[in-house]
Amino acid sequence: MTTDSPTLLSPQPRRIGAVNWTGLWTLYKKEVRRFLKVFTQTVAAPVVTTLLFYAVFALALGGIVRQVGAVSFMEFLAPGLVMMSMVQNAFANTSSSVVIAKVQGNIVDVLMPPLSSTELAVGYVAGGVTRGVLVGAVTFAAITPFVPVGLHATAFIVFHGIAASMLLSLLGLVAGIWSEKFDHIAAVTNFVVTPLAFLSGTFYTIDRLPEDWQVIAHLNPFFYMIDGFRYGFIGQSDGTLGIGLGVMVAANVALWVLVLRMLATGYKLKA
Amino acid sequence: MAWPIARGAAVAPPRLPVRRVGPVHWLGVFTLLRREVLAALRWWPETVFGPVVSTLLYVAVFAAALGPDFASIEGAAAFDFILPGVIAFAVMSRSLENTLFAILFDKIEGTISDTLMPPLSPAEWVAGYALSGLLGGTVTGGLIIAVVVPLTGMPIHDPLLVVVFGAATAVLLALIGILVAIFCEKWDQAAAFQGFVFVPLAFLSGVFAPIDRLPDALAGLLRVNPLYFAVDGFRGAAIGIHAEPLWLSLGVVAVAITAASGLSLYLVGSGYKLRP
Repeated sequence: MTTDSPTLLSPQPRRIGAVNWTGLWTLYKKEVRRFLKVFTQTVAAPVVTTLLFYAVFALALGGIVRQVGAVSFMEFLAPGLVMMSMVQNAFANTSSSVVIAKVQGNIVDVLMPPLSSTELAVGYVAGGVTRGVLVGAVTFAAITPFVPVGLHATAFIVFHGIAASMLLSLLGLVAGIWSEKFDHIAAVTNFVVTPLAFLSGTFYTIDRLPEDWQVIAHLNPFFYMIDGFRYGFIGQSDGTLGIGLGVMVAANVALWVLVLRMLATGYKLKA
Repeated sequence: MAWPIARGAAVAPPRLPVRRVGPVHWLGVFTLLRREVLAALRWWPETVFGPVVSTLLYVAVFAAALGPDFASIEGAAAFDFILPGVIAFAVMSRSLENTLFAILFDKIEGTISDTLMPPLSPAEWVAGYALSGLLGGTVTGGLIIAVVVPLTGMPIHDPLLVVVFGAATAVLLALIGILVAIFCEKWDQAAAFQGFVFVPLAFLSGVFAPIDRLPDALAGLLRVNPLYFAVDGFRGAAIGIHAEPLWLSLGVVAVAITAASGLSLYLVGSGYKLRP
Protein backbone atom coordinates (compact mmCIF):
# COMPACT_ATOMS: atom_id res chain seq x y z
CA MET A 1 0.00 0.00 0.00
CA THR A 2 1.32 3.39 -0.90
CA THR A 3 -1.30 5.64 0.71
CA ASP A 4 -2.19 5.64 4.34
CA SER A 5 -5.76 4.76 5.03
CA PRO A 6 -7.56 7.69 6.75
CA THR A 7 -9.15 5.35 9.28
CA LEU A 8 -5.72 4.45 10.65
CA LEU A 9 -4.86 8.11 11.32
CA SER A 10 -8.06 9.09 13.08
CA PRO A 11 -7.92 8.86 16.89
CA GLN A 12 -9.26 5.70 18.37
CA PRO A 13 -11.36 5.63 21.56
CA ARG A 14 -9.47 4.12 24.48
CA ARG A 15 -10.91 0.79 25.35
CA ILE A 16 -11.34 0.02 29.00
CA GLY A 17 -11.93 -3.59 29.96
CA ALA A 18 -13.95 -4.80 32.91
CA VAL A 19 -11.59 -2.97 35.27
CA ASN A 20 -9.88 0.35 34.57
CA TRP A 21 -6.48 -0.81 35.79
CA THR A 22 -4.63 2.33 34.66
CA GLY A 23 -7.13 4.56 36.44
CA LEU A 24 -7.10 2.49 39.60
CA TRP A 25 -3.28 2.40 39.68
CA THR A 26 -3.13 6.17 39.07
CA LEU A 27 -5.55 6.89 41.92
CA TYR A 28 -3.58 4.60 44.23
CA LYS A 29 -0.28 6.26 43.27
CA LYS A 30 -1.82 9.68 43.89
CA GLU A 31 -3.03 8.58 47.35
CA VAL A 32 0.36 7.17 48.34
CA ARG A 33 2.35 10.15 47.03
CA ARG A 34 -0.02 12.49 48.85
CA PHE A 35 1.00 11.19 52.26
CA LEU A 36 4.64 10.45 51.39
CA LYS A 37 5.14 14.08 50.34
CA VAL A 38 4.66 15.09 53.99
CA PHE A 39 6.02 11.91 55.54
CA THR A 40 7.33 13.74 58.62
CA GLN A 41 3.71 14.44 59.54
CA THR A 42 2.15 11.25 58.23
CA VAL A 43 4.73 8.61 59.13
CA ALA A 44 7.48 9.99 61.39
CA ALA A 45 5.23 11.97 63.76
CA PRO A 46 2.83 9.07 64.49
CA VAL A 47 5.80 6.78 65.14
CA VAL A 48 7.35 9.27 67.59
CA THR A 49 4.01 9.75 69.35
CA THR A 50 3.52 6.00 69.72
CA LEU A 51 7.02 5.54 71.11
CA LEU A 52 6.33 8.36 73.55
CA PHE A 53 3.18 6.68 74.78
CA TYR A 54 5.17 3.50 75.19
CA ALA A 55 7.87 5.28 77.19
CA VAL A 56 5.36 7.14 79.32
CA PHE A 57 3.40 4.02 80.23
CA ALA A 58 6.60 2.15 80.96
CA LEU A 59 7.72 4.93 83.30
CA ALA A 60 4.38 5.50 85.00
CA LEU A 61 3.15 1.92 85.37
CA GLY A 62 6.12 -0.33 84.64
CA GLY A 63 6.98 -0.73 88.30
CA ILE A 64 3.38 -1.35 89.38
CA VAL A 65 1.65 -3.40 86.69
CA ARG A 66 4.34 -6.01 86.09
CA GLN A 67 2.48 -8.91 84.55
CA VAL A 68 -0.54 -9.32 82.32
CA GLY A 69 -1.26 -13.05 82.23
CA ALA A 70 1.93 -14.80 81.22
CA VAL A 71 3.69 -11.82 79.63
CA SER A 72 5.18 -8.60 80.96
CA PHE A 73 3.11 -5.41 80.78
CA MET A 74 5.50 -3.93 78.23
CA GLU A 75 5.21 -6.96 75.97
CA PHE A 76 1.43 -6.78 76.31
CA LEU A 77 1.34 -3.08 75.48
CA ALA A 78 3.51 -3.09 72.33
CA PRO A 79 1.17 -4.85 69.83
CA GLY A 80 -1.80 -2.74 70.95
CA LEU A 81 0.11 0.49 70.42
CA VAL A 82 1.26 -0.65 66.98
CA MET A 83 -2.35 -1.44 66.05
CA MET A 84 -3.58 1.88 67.43
CA SER A 85 -1.15 3.84 65.30
CA MET A 86 -2.08 1.75 62.24
CA VAL A 87 -5.81 2.34 62.49
CA GLN A 88 -5.55 6.02 63.39
CA ASN A 89 -3.37 6.65 60.34
CA ALA A 90 -5.50 4.56 57.99
CA PHE A 91 -8.49 6.64 59.07
CA ALA A 92 -6.61 9.92 58.80
CA ASN A 93 -5.42 9.13 55.28
CA THR A 94 -8.75 8.53 53.54
CA SER A 95 -10.75 11.03 55.57
CA SER A 96 -8.30 13.91 55.10
CA SER A 97 -7.79 13.12 51.41
CA VAL A 98 -11.52 13.28 50.65
CA VAL A 99 -12.35 16.23 52.86
CA ILE A 100 -9.44 18.38 51.65
CA ALA A 101 -10.37 17.64 48.02
CA LYS A 102 -14.00 18.51 48.77
CA VAL A 103 -13.20 21.77 50.56
CA GLN A 104 -10.70 22.85 47.89
CA GLY A 105 -13.02 21.76 45.09
CA ASN A 106 -10.54 19.47 43.36
CA ILE A 107 -12.60 16.37 44.17
CA VAL A 108 -13.79 16.64 40.53
CA ASP A 109 -10.32 15.50 39.47
CA VAL A 110 -11.19 12.15 41.00
CA LEU A 111 -14.89 12.04 40.13
CA MET A 112 -14.57 13.02 36.45
CA PRO A 113 -12.23 10.27 35.15
CA PRO A 114 -13.83 7.00 34.02
CA LEU A 115 -13.59 5.27 37.40
CA SER A 116 -16.47 3.23 38.75
CA SER A 117 -17.51 3.65 42.37
CA THR A 118 -15.85 0.32 43.19
CA GLU A 119 -12.59 1.45 41.60
CA LEU A 120 -12.76 4.75 43.50
CA ALA A 121 -13.32 2.97 46.79
CA VAL A 122 -10.57 0.40 46.15
CA GLY A 123 -8.07 3.12 45.18
CA TYR A 124 -8.73 5.20 48.31
CA VAL A 125 -8.85 2.22 50.66
CA ALA A 126 -5.63 0.77 49.24
CA GLY A 127 -3.94 4.12 49.94
CA GLY A 128 -5.22 4.13 53.53
CA VAL A 129 -4.14 0.51 54.11
CA THR A 130 -0.69 1.32 52.71
CA ARG A 131 -0.22 4.17 55.16
CA GLY A 132 -1.58 2.14 58.08
CA VAL A 133 0.65 -0.84 57.39
CA LEU A 134 3.70 1.37 56.77
CA VAL A 135 3.24 3.27 60.04
CA GLY A 136 2.60 -0.01 61.88
CA ALA A 137 5.73 -1.64 60.44
CA VAL A 138 7.96 1.34 61.27
CA THR A 139 6.51 1.58 64.78
CA PHE A 140 7.06 -2.13 65.32
CA ALA A 141 10.63 -1.90 64.08
CA ALA A 142 11.24 1.01 66.45
CA ILE A 143 9.76 -0.77 69.48
CA THR A 144 11.49 -4.16 69.08
CA PRO A 145 14.95 -2.97 70.21
CA PHE A 146 13.40 -2.01 73.58
CA VAL A 147 11.16 -5.01 74.10
CA PRO A 148 11.68 -8.26 72.21
CA VAL A 149 8.16 -9.12 71.05
CA GLY A 150 7.75 -12.70 69.89
CA LEU A 151 5.73 -13.90 66.92
CA HIS A 152 3.13 -16.47 67.90
CA ALA A 153 0.69 -16.71 64.98
CA THR A 154 1.74 -14.69 61.92
CA ALA A 155 -1.57 -15.33 60.16
CA PHE A 156 -3.46 -13.46 62.91
CA ILE A 157 -1.04 -10.54 62.68
CA VAL A 158 -1.45 -10.25 58.93
CA PHE A 159 -5.21 -10.75 58.91
CA HIS A 160 -5.99 -8.34 61.75
CA GLY A 161 -3.43 -5.80 60.56
CA ILE A 162 -4.94 -5.61 57.10
CA ALA A 163 -8.58 -6.06 58.13
CA ALA A 164 -8.29 -3.30 60.74
CA SER A 165 -6.50 -0.87 58.41
CA MET A 166 -9.12 -1.57 55.75
CA LEU A 167 -11.98 -1.08 58.20
CA LEU A 168 -10.66 2.30 59.32
CA SER A 169 -9.85 3.36 55.76
CA LEU A 170 -13.48 2.63 54.88
CA LEU A 171 -14.67 4.50 57.95
CA GLY A 172 -12.43 7.40 56.91
CA LEU A 173 -14.05 7.41 53.47
CA VAL A 174 -17.53 7.46 55.02
CA ALA A 175 -16.54 10.28 57.38
CA GLY A 176 -14.78 12.21 54.59
CA ILE A 177 -17.77 11.95 52.27
CA TRP A 178 -20.16 12.97 55.05
CA SER A 179 -18.05 15.95 56.25
CA GLU A 180 -18.53 19.34 54.71
CA LYS A 181 -15.87 21.16 56.72
CA PHE A 182 -12.66 20.40 58.56
CA ASP A 183 -14.61 20.87 61.82
CA HIS A 184 -16.73 17.84 61.04
CA ILE A 185 -13.83 15.53 60.35
CA ALA A 186 -11.95 16.82 63.41
CA ALA A 187 -15.02 16.09 65.52
CA VAL A 188 -15.27 12.51 64.21
CA THR A 189 -11.56 11.99 64.90
CA ASN A 190 -11.60 13.50 68.39
CA PHE A 191 -14.93 12.24 69.64
CA VAL A 192 -15.34 8.87 67.88
CA VAL A 193 -12.12 7.34 66.56
CA THR A 194 -9.67 8.40 69.29
CA PRO A 195 -11.93 7.42 72.24
CA LEU A 196 -12.78 4.04 70.63
CA ALA A 197 -9.07 3.42 70.01
CA PHE A 198 -8.02 4.49 73.53
CA LEU A 199 -10.72 2.47 75.26
CA SER A 200 -10.18 -0.64 73.14
CA GLY A 201 -8.01 -2.53 75.56
CA THR A 202 -4.70 -1.34 74.16
CA PHE A 203 -3.51 -0.30 77.58
CA TYR A 204 -5.22 -2.89 79.77
CA THR A 205 -6.83 -6.32 79.64
CA ILE A 206 -10.53 -5.89 80.02
CA ASP A 207 -10.65 -8.48 82.84
CA ARG A 208 -9.33 -5.65 84.93
CA LEU A 209 -12.45 -3.57 84.34
CA PRO A 210 -15.61 -3.76 86.49
CA GLU A 211 -18.25 -6.25 85.16
CA ASP A 212 -20.54 -3.69 83.49
CA TRP A 213 -17.64 -2.07 81.71
CA GLN A 214 -16.47 -5.44 80.41
CA VAL A 215 -19.80 -5.83 78.61
CA ILE A 216 -19.47 -2.36 77.07
CA ALA A 217 -15.87 -3.05 76.07
CA HIS A 218 -17.01 -6.13 74.14
CA LEU A 219 -19.28 -3.92 72.03
CA ASN A 220 -16.33 -1.89 70.73
CA PRO A 221 -15.13 -3.25 67.35
CA PHE A 222 -11.68 -1.82 68.10
CA PHE A 223 -11.42 -4.30 70.94
CA TYR A 224 -11.50 -7.27 68.52
CA MET A 225 -8.93 -5.89 66.12
CA ILE A 226 -6.45 -5.22 68.90
CA ASP A 227 -7.20 -8.46 70.73
CA GLY A 228 -6.68 -10.66 67.65
CA PHE A 229 -3.61 -8.70 66.54
CA ARG A 230 -2.07 -9.00 69.98
CA TYR A 231 -2.84 -12.73 70.08
CA GLY A 232 -0.63 -13.07 67.00
CA PHE A 233 2.31 -11.72 69.03
CA ILE A 234 1.85 -12.91 72.60
CA GLY A 235 -0.42 -15.95 72.17
CA GLN A 236 -3.04 -14.89 74.71
CA SER A 237 -6.32 -13.12 74.11
CA ASP A 238 -9.08 -11.49 76.16
CA GLY A 239 -11.98 -12.42 73.91
CA THR A 240 -12.88 -15.40 71.75
CA LEU A 241 -10.69 -15.38 68.64
CA GLY A 242 -13.41 -16.77 66.38
CA ILE A 243 -15.81 -14.00 67.33
CA GLY A 244 -13.04 -11.49 66.65
CA LEU A 245 -12.51 -12.81 63.13
CA GLY A 246 -16.28 -12.78 62.54
CA VAL A 247 -16.66 -9.20 63.78
CA MET A 248 -13.80 -8.00 61.56
CA VAL A 249 -15.24 -9.66 58.45
CA ALA A 250 -18.80 -8.51 59.16
CA ALA A 251 -17.77 -4.92 59.92
CA ASN A 252 -15.66 -4.74 56.75
CA VAL A 253 -18.48 -6.12 54.59
CA ALA A 254 -20.99 -3.69 56.09
CA LEU A 255 -18.73 -0.69 55.50
CA TRP A 256 -17.87 -1.79 51.95
CA VAL A 257 -21.59 -1.92 51.15
CA LEU A 258 -22.13 1.50 52.72
CA VAL A 259 -19.17 3.11 50.93
CA LEU A 260 -20.11 1.68 47.53
CA ARG A 261 -23.68 2.86 48.02
CA MET A 262 -22.51 6.38 48.97
CA LEU A 263 -20.19 6.60 45.96
CA ALA A 264 -22.77 5.18 43.55
CA THR A 265 -25.47 7.63 44.60
CA GLY A 266 -23.02 10.54 44.73
CA TYR A 267 -24.09 11.38 48.30
CA LYS A 268 -22.57 14.76 49.23
CA LEU A 269 -20.07 14.35 46.38
CA LYS A 270 -21.90 15.02 43.12
CA ALA A 271 -24.40 17.78 42.53
CA MET B 1 -31.31 69.87 50.76
CA ALA B 2 -28.40 71.13 48.77
CA TRP B 3 -25.56 72.84 50.58
CA PRO B 4 -25.69 76.58 50.09
CA ILE B 5 -22.36 77.33 48.49
CA ALA B 6 -21.45 80.96 48.28
CA ARG B 7 -19.86 81.65 44.92
CA GLY B 8 -16.18 82.46 45.25
CA ALA B 9 -16.10 81.93 48.99
CA ALA B 10 -13.71 79.26 50.29
CA VAL B 11 -15.50 76.63 52.36
CA ALA B 12 -13.38 75.02 55.01
CA PRO B 13 -13.78 71.26 55.21
CA PRO B 14 -15.44 70.11 58.40
CA ARG B 15 -12.91 69.42 61.13
CA LEU B 16 -12.97 65.87 62.45
CA PRO B 17 -11.75 65.38 65.99
CA VAL B 18 -8.43 63.54 66.18
CA ARG B 19 -8.69 60.35 68.22
CA ARG B 20 -6.20 60.44 71.03
CA VAL B 21 -4.46 57.27 72.14
CA GLY B 22 -2.90 57.47 75.61
CA PRO B 23 0.36 55.78 76.63
CA VAL B 24 -1.44 52.44 76.40
CA HIS B 25 -3.91 51.78 73.61
CA TRP B 26 -6.38 49.94 75.86
CA LEU B 27 -9.13 49.80 73.26
CA GLY B 28 -6.76 48.25 70.72
CA VAL B 29 -5.47 45.60 73.12
CA PHE B 30 -9.01 44.74 74.15
CA THR B 31 -10.15 44.53 70.52
CA LEU B 32 -7.29 42.19 69.61
CA LEU B 33 -8.04 40.06 72.68
CA ARG B 34 -11.74 39.92 71.81
CA ARG B 35 -10.95 38.98 68.20
CA GLU B 36 -8.71 36.11 69.30
CA VAL B 37 -11.11 34.80 71.96
CA LEU B 38 -14.03 34.84 69.52
CA ALA B 39 -11.88 33.11 66.88
CA ALA B 40 -10.97 30.34 69.35
CA LEU B 41 -14.60 29.97 70.47
CA ARG B 42 -15.67 29.67 66.87
CA TRP B 43 -13.97 26.24 66.94
CA TRP B 44 -15.35 25.32 70.36
CA PRO B 45 -15.69 21.57 69.74
CA GLU B 46 -11.93 21.34 69.30
CA THR B 47 -10.77 24.22 71.49
CA VAL B 48 -13.07 23.82 74.50
CA PHE B 49 -14.58 20.36 74.38
CA GLY B 50 -11.61 18.51 72.81
CA PRO B 51 -9.07 19.03 75.64
CA VAL B 52 -11.65 17.96 78.24
CA VAL B 53 -12.39 14.73 76.36
CA SER B 54 -8.75 13.86 75.72
CA THR B 55 -7.81 14.52 79.35
CA LEU B 56 -10.65 12.29 80.55
CA LEU B 57 -9.39 9.61 78.13
CA TYR B 58 -5.91 9.72 79.66
CA VAL B 59 -7.38 9.49 83.15
CA ALA B 60 -9.69 6.59 82.20
CA VAL B 61 -6.93 4.67 80.44
CA PHE B 62 -4.52 5.01 83.35
CA ALA B 63 -7.19 4.02 85.87
CA ALA B 64 -8.09 0.94 83.80
CA ALA B 65 -4.46 0.00 83.20
CA LEU B 66 -3.80 0.11 86.94
CA GLY B 67 -6.84 -2.14 87.42
CA PRO B 68 -6.73 -4.05 90.72
CA ASP B 69 -3.34 -2.47 91.50
CA PHE B 70 -5.28 0.76 91.78
CA ALA B 71 -6.09 -0.10 95.38
CA SER B 72 -2.43 -0.56 96.36
CA ILE B 73 -0.52 2.33 97.87
CA GLU B 74 1.87 2.69 94.95
CA GLY B 75 -1.03 2.33 92.47
CA ALA B 76 -3.00 5.10 94.16
CA ALA B 77 0.14 7.23 94.34
CA ALA B 78 0.75 6.78 90.60
CA PHE B 79 -2.83 7.78 89.82
CA ASP B 80 -2.68 10.87 92.06
CA PHE B 81 0.57 11.80 90.37
CA ILE B 82 -0.90 11.56 86.87
CA LEU B 83 -4.02 13.69 87.51
CA PRO B 84 -2.38 17.13 87.93
CA GLY B 85 0.13 16.16 85.22
CA VAL B 86 -2.49 15.65 82.52
CA ILE B 87 -4.34 18.81 83.57
CA ALA B 88 -1.11 20.83 83.29
CA PHE B 89 -0.47 19.23 79.89
CA ALA B 90 -3.94 20.21 78.66
CA VAL B 91 -3.39 23.83 79.80
CA MET B 92 0.02 23.94 78.10
CA SER B 93 -1.12 22.54 74.76
CA ARG B 94 -4.25 24.72 74.62
CA SER B 95 -2.35 27.97 75.31
CA LEU B 96 0.35 27.02 72.82
CA GLU B 97 -2.16 26.20 70.07
CA ASN B 98 -4.21 29.28 70.81
CA THR B 99 -1.51 31.76 69.77
CA LEU B 100 0.47 29.49 67.42
CA PHE B 101 -2.48 28.56 65.19
CA ALA B 102 -4.04 32.05 65.25
CA ILE B 103 -0.90 33.92 64.20
CA LEU B 104 0.33 31.32 61.71
CA PHE B 105 -3.11 31.13 60.07
CA ASP B 106 -3.12 34.91 59.61
CA LYS B 107 0.46 34.84 58.32
CA ILE B 108 -0.27 32.17 55.73
CA GLU B 109 -3.57 33.70 54.64
CA GLY B 110 -2.04 37.18 54.50
CA THR B 111 -4.55 38.58 57.00
CA ILE B 112 -1.83 39.25 59.60
CA SER B 113 -1.86 42.86 58.35
CA ASP B 114 -5.26 43.21 60.08
CA THR B 115 -3.45 43.09 63.41
CA LEU B 116 -0.18 44.74 62.30
CA MET B 117 -1.76 47.80 60.66
CA PRO B 118 -3.75 49.19 63.60
CA PRO B 119 -1.89 51.56 65.96
CA LEU B 120 -0.67 48.86 68.33
CA SER B 121 2.84 48.92 69.75
CA PRO B 122 4.78 45.61 69.80
CA ALA B 123 4.08 45.35 73.53
CA GLU B 124 0.35 45.84 73.01
CA TRP B 125 0.35 43.32 70.15
CA VAL B 126 2.16 40.68 72.21
CA ALA B 127 -0.01 41.41 75.25
CA GLY B 128 -3.24 40.96 73.29
CA TYR B 129 -2.18 37.57 71.97
CA ALA B 130 -0.64 36.42 75.26
CA LEU B 131 -3.85 37.33 77.11
CA SER B 132 -5.91 35.32 74.64
CA GLY B 133 -3.64 32.32 75.27
CA LEU B 134 -3.93 32.90 79.02
CA LEU B 135 -7.73 32.88 78.77
CA GLY B 136 -7.74 29.81 76.54
CA GLY B 137 -5.45 27.83 78.82
CA THR B 138 -7.08 28.79 82.12
CA VAL B 139 -10.64 28.25 80.87
CA THR B 140 -9.61 24.81 79.59
CA GLY B 141 -7.86 23.99 82.86
CA GLY B 142 -10.82 25.25 84.90
CA LEU B 143 -13.27 23.13 82.92
CA ILE B 144 -11.13 20.03 83.26
CA ILE B 145 -10.74 20.56 87.00
CA ALA B 146 -14.51 21.04 87.29
CA VAL B 147 -15.05 17.65 85.60
CA VAL B 148 -12.10 15.65 86.98
CA VAL B 149 -12.29 16.67 90.65
CA PRO B 150 -15.85 15.36 91.26
CA LEU B 151 -15.11 12.19 89.25
CA THR B 152 -11.90 11.22 90.99
CA GLY B 153 -12.21 12.93 94.35
CA MET B 154 -8.87 14.63 93.71
CA PRO B 155 -8.25 17.04 96.59
CA ILE B 156 -7.07 20.54 95.76
CA HIS B 157 -4.19 21.28 98.08
CA ASP B 158 -3.88 25.05 97.53
CA PRO B 159 -6.50 26.58 95.18
CA LEU B 160 -4.78 29.97 95.01
CA LEU B 161 -1.44 28.47 94.00
CA VAL B 162 -3.20 26.27 91.45
CA VAL B 163 -4.53 29.43 89.81
CA VAL B 164 -1.12 31.13 89.99
CA PHE B 165 0.76 28.19 88.45
CA GLY B 166 -1.99 27.51 85.93
CA ALA B 167 -1.99 31.13 84.77
CA ALA B 168 1.83 31.37 84.66
CA THR B 169 2.04 28.15 82.66
CA ALA B 170 -0.62 29.38 80.23
CA VAL B 171 1.16 32.71 79.68
CA LEU B 172 4.53 31.00 79.13
CA LEU B 173 3.12 28.62 76.52
CA ALA B 174 1.13 31.41 74.83
CA LEU B 175 4.39 33.38 74.44
CA ILE B 176 6.17 30.28 73.09
CA GLY B 177 3.28 29.94 70.64
CA ILE B 178 3.83 33.53 69.48
CA LEU B 179 7.56 32.90 68.98
CA VAL B 180 7.05 29.63 67.09
CA ALA B 181 4.41 31.26 64.88
CA ILE B 182 6.83 34.07 64.04
CA PHE B 183 9.58 31.62 63.03
CA CYS B 184 7.30 29.24 61.09
CA GLU B 185 6.33 29.78 57.48
CA LYS B 186 4.28 26.63 56.86
CA TRP B 187 1.86 24.39 58.73
CA ASP B 188 4.33 21.50 58.40
CA GLN B 189 6.83 23.37 60.53
CA ALA B 190 4.27 24.07 63.25
CA ALA B 191 3.18 20.41 63.20
CA ALA B 192 6.82 19.33 63.43
CA PHE B 193 7.37 21.62 66.43
CA GLN B 194 4.36 20.15 68.20
CA GLY B 195 5.07 16.52 67.33
CA PHE B 196 8.83 16.45 67.71
CA VAL B 197 9.55 19.16 70.30
CA PHE B 198 6.59 20.18 72.43
CA VAL B 199 4.80 16.87 73.06
CA PRO B 200 7.98 14.82 73.75
CA LEU B 201 9.37 17.54 76.00
CA ALA B 202 6.10 17.94 77.90
CA PHE B 203 5.39 14.21 78.22
CA LEU B 204 8.85 13.52 79.59
CA SER B 205 8.88 16.58 81.88
CA GLY B 206 7.08 14.76 84.65
CA VAL B 207 3.54 14.81 83.29
CA PHE B 208 2.97 11.08 83.80
CA ALA B 209 5.90 9.87 85.88
CA PRO B 210 8.62 11.34 88.09
CA ILE B 211 11.51 12.54 85.99
CA ASP B 212 14.08 10.55 88.01
CA ARG B 213 12.78 7.28 86.52
CA LEU B 214 14.44 8.34 83.27
CA PRO B 215 18.12 7.63 82.55
CA ASP B 216 20.26 10.09 84.53
CA ALA B 217 21.66 11.94 81.51
CA LEU B 218 18.21 12.54 80.03
CA ALA B 219 16.72 13.50 83.40
CA GLY B 220 19.54 16.00 83.91
CA LEU B 221 18.84 17.58 80.54
CA LEU B 222 15.10 17.77 81.16
CA ARG B 223 15.68 19.39 84.58
CA VAL B 224 16.82 22.60 82.93
CA ASN B 225 13.63 23.08 80.90
CA PRO B 226 10.93 25.43 82.22
CA LEU B 227 8.09 22.99 81.37
CA TYR B 228 9.45 20.65 84.03
CA PHE B 229 9.19 23.38 86.65
CA ALA B 230 5.74 24.43 85.44
CA VAL B 231 4.42 20.85 85.74
CA ASP B 232 6.16 20.22 89.07
CA GLY B 233 4.90 23.49 90.53
CA PHE B 234 1.36 22.88 89.32
CA ARG B 235 1.42 19.41 90.88
CA GLY B 236 2.78 20.84 94.12
CA ALA B 237 -0.04 23.37 94.23
CA ALA B 238 -2.67 20.76 93.31
CA ILE B 239 -1.76 17.75 95.47
CA GLY B 240 1.10 19.02 97.62
CA ILE B 241 3.72 16.69 96.12
CA HIS B 242 6.65 18.31 94.37
CA ALA B 243 10.29 17.53 93.63
CA GLU B 244 11.53 21.14 93.59
CA PRO B 245 10.72 23.96 96.03
CA LEU B 246 7.62 25.85 94.84
CA TRP B 247 9.38 29.24 94.97
CA LEU B 248 12.09 27.90 92.66
CA SER B 249 9.49 26.54 90.19
CA LEU B 250 7.61 29.83 90.18
CA GLY B 251 10.89 31.73 89.79
CA VAL B 252 12.02 29.63 86.82
CA VAL B 253 8.64 30.03 85.11
CA ALA B 254 8.75 33.80 85.76
CA VAL B 255 12.25 34.06 84.29
CA ALA B 256 11.15 32.04 81.26
CA ILE B 257 8.13 34.32 80.78
CA THR B 258 10.37 37.38 80.98
CA ALA B 259 12.82 35.94 78.45
CA ALA B 260 10.07 34.83 76.05
CA SER B 261 8.28 38.18 76.21
CA GLY B 262 11.58 40.04 75.74
CA LEU B 263 12.40 38.02 72.65
CA SER B 264 8.91 38.36 71.19
CA LEU B 265 8.90 42.13 71.81
CA TYR B 266 12.23 42.39 70.01
CA LEU B 267 11.09 40.24 67.07
CA VAL B 268 7.72 41.95 66.69
CA GLY B 269 9.43 45.34 66.96
CA SER B 270 11.91 44.45 64.24
CA GLY B 271 9.13 42.99 62.09
CA TYR B 272 11.09 39.73 61.67
CA LYS B 273 9.13 37.38 59.36
CA LEU B 274 5.98 39.41 60.03
CA ARG B 275 6.44 42.61 58.05
CA PRO B 276 7.81 42.71 54.50
